[in-house]
Amino acid sequence: MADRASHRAGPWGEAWARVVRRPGAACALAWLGVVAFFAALAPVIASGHPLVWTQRGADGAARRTFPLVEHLSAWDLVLAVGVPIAAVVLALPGRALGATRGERWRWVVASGIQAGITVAVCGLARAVLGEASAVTAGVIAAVVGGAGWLLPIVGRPGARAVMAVAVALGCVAACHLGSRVPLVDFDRYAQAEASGGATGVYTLIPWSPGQGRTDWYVKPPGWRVEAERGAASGGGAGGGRVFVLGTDALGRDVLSQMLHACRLSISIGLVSTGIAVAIGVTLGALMGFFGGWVDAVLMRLVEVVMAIPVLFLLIVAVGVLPTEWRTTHALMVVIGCVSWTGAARFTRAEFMKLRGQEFVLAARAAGLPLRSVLGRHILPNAVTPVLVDASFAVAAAILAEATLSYLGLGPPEQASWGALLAGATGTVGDFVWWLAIFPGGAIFLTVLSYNLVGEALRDAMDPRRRARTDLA
Amino acid sequence: MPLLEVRDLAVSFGGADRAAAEGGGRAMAVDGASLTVYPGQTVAVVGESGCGKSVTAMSLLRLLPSPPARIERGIALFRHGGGQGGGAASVDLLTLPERALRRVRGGQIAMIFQEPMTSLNPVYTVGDQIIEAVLLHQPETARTPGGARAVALAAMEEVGISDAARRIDAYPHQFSGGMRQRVMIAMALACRPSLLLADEPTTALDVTVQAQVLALLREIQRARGMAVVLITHALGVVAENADVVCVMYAGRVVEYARVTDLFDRPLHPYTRGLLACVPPLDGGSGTLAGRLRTVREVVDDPAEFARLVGHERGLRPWWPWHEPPTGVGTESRLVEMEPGHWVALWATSGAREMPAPAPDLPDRFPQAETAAGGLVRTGRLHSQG
Repeated sequence: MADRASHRAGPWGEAWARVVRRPGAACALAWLGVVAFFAALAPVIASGHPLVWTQRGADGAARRTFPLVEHLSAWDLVLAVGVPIAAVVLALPGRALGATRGERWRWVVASGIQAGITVAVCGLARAVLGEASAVTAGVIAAVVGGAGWLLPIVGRPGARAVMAVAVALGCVAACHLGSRVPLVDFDRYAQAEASGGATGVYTLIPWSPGQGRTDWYVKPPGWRVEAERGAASGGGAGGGRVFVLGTDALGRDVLSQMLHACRLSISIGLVSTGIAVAIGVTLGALMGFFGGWVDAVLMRLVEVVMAIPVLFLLIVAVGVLPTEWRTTHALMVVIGCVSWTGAARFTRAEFMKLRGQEFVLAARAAGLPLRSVLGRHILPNAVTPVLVDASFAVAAAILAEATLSYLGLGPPEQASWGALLAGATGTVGDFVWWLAIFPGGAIFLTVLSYNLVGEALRDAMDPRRRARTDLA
Repeated sequence: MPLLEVRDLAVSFGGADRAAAEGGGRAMAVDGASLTVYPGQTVAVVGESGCGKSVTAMSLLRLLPSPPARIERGIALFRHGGGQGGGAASVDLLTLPERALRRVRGGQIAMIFQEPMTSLNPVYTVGDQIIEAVLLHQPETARTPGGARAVALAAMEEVGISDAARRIDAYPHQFSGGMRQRVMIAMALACRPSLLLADEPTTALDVTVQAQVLALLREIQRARGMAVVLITHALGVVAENADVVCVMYAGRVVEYARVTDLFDRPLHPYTRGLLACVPPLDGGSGTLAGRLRTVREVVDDPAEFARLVGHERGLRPWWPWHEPPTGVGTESRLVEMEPGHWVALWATSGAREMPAPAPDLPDRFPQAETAAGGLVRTGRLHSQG
C-alpha cells in the first residue's frame, strides 16, 4: 500500500509523464540520452592510449600497464564512474534504497553539484597553489564542495552526510589520480608494436581526439591505416585500424572528436543555462515579490542587459580575453551572464501572480519565515515557464558555441562539433562532405531535441490543456 | 481570565492613487472594534461582505500587507500558554516583534481560510505541508525519525480523514473540497494552538460538508478546550456554534451579546434586519404574508430606531447612513444597554453618560452528547470567572 502511494505523482511527475508520452519528445530524450552517455564515457570509449599495454622487457618478463586509465583527467574519472552509478540508482524501480525516485533524483542532483564544485575548486586550487600542495588543494576543494549541501535539496540529514562524505572522498581521489593530459606522442605505441616489443589492447575507438598525423590528412570515412613499415604482427600496430567517419585537416579522427565533443555540448547547457537561470530566478523573485521601487530599479537593469547583442559581445570578449582564459567555459559563463533576462521576466510575472494566492497567506499564517515562504512555497510553483525557457536557451547556447567555433574563435585544442564543421570547406575550397554531414547532423539533432523537449514541456504544463483532475 | 482582548482596533487602507482619486484620506476598514475571547469559547463575528471581519482577524496576526494597510490604533492582548490557568504573560500582538509573532502564528494562534481549493500548495504532498508546520512549532519531533510524520498522521486521523496512512502522501488535487478543508484544519491543529481564527471556513462548501466540518470543530474544541473566533455571515451557523456574537457593520461593532440574548432580543435595527432575512419554518408572526422583510426595509424605517429603550433620552442606535445628531460628528460608543448586551449608539450626551466598558462575556454553552453520537448545545449557560 505504501509503495503505491509513493508512486503517486505530483504535478511535475504528471507533467513529465505527459512529456514522455509524445513520440517527438521521446525520440529527443533518447538522442539526448545517447549524447549524455558519450559525454560521460567518451574518454574510455575513444582513446589512442591502449587499455592494457604489455611490454616485454629485455629479461623476457612482461610488464603490464594501463595507459588509458593513467591518462584520464579528474573530470573523466568522476564522470566515468559517477554517471553509471547515478543511472543505476535512478533506474531502480519503486522505493529502492529507502527512497522514492523523486528523492533519488534529488540525491543525484545534489551529488552532481557537489562533485562539480569540488573538482572545479580542486583544479583552481592546484593552479593557484602549485603542484606541491596537492593535499591542501584537496582539503579546500572538499570543504567548499561540501558547502553545496547547504542547498536544501535533500531533506534527510543522515543521508545527506553520508553522501556528502562519499562524494567528497571520491572527487578528491579523482583529482589526485587524474593528471593534466600532456601532449602525448601516440606514435610510440605504434612503433613499439611494430618492433615487436609490446602489445596493446585498445578500446572501442582507438583514436584520441588530439591524435593526428599529417599523412592522414582529410581521409574519407572507412579509410584503413596501412600497417607500419616492417610490421610483423598484423593486428594492432596501427595497421588495420579504421577511421570510421574519416579525418579532418589535421589528420584527427572525426568520430573520436565527435564523441568527445558530446561532453562540451552537455556542459554548455549546464553552465550557461545554469548561470542564467540562477541569476534570472533570483532577480525575478525579488522583483515580483517585493514590487515597488525594487521592481522599478531592477527592471531597468533587465532592460539594459536585454539590449546587449550576445553574439557580438562574445566576439568582443574573445578578442579581449587573455589567451589562457579563452576556454569554451569562459565563453559559456559570458553567455550565461547576459542571457538571464528571459528567466527574470517569467519569474517576476509568476511571483506577482502567486504572492496573492491563499496558500502563501496560509504559509505565513502558520508562522513560516519569509525566506521559507519565498523559496519553498512560491518558487517551485513559479519555475514552470523558466524550465521551458531554459530548454530553448540550451539549444541557443549550443548554436552560439558552434558559431563561435566555426568562426575559429573557440580554443583550438577543444574538440567541438562547430570546429569540425569549420573544416568542411577545405583549404582549397572543395567540399569535404564527411566534415559537414556528421558534425552538422549532430548539431542539428541536438538542437532539435532540446526544442522538442521544450515544446513538450510547455504543452504539458499548460493548464488549459491539462485534463481536469480536481474532484470537487 | 480572557485569552484574547481586542480593544479599539482600527485598520486603514490607503495609497497614493487613492488619495488623489477620492480627495485624500485613507479608508478605515476597521474603525474601533473590540472583542474578548475566553478559553474554550466560540466568538462569532458576523456581518456582510466588506464589514471588516476578515480584516480584523488578519490584523491580529499582522498578515495584511503593510504599505496599503496600516494599523492605526488599538491593542490585542493575547495570553501566551492560553488554557484555563492564570499566570501566563500577556503580549500585544499588534506591536510584537516579527520573530516572536512568527512563534505565535501557527503555534498559539492558528488560522484557516475560506477557500480550501487554493489554500494548499499544489506541488507538495499534504503530509509534507502538515509536517512542515509541525517541525516549525514542535522542533523536538525532529529528533526521532518519523516523529513529525506520526504527529501529522495523528492530526489527520483526528480530523476524520480515513485511510490517513495512505492519503498523507497524496497531493492536494487528489482531495475534494471538504477533505481539503479538513486537511487545512489538521494543519492548523497539528501544533495545538489555544486559539483558532476561522475565516468563513465553510462558505465554499455544500451544506452537508459544512455540517460535518462544523461538528468536527465543535468536537475538537470540546476535547482540547480551544477557543475559536468564527467569522461568518450565516446566522444558522452562528446559532448552532457560537457562544458570543459580535455583529459588525462598516468597520465597527454594532452589537455584542450572548447568542441567546442576540437571537431573543436583538437591540440594534441592523441585527433585526439580518434576523428578518432568515425564513421562519412556521410562517412566523410579524412577517407579511409569505414575504420576507429585507435588511434595507428594516434599517430605512425610523420606527425601528425609535424602539430602543432610552430613545426619549436621545439614545439612538449608530447607523452610518443616517444624519448624525447635532454636535456628534461620526463618533459612536459601544454602550452596555443591558447586562451582557452591548449596542453601538451615536455618542450623544445621553449616551456618554451610560456605562461603556469593553465588551467582555465569559459565557460558554456546554456541549452534550446526543443519543445519535453527535454534539449539541444545551440551553444552560456555563459562566467562567
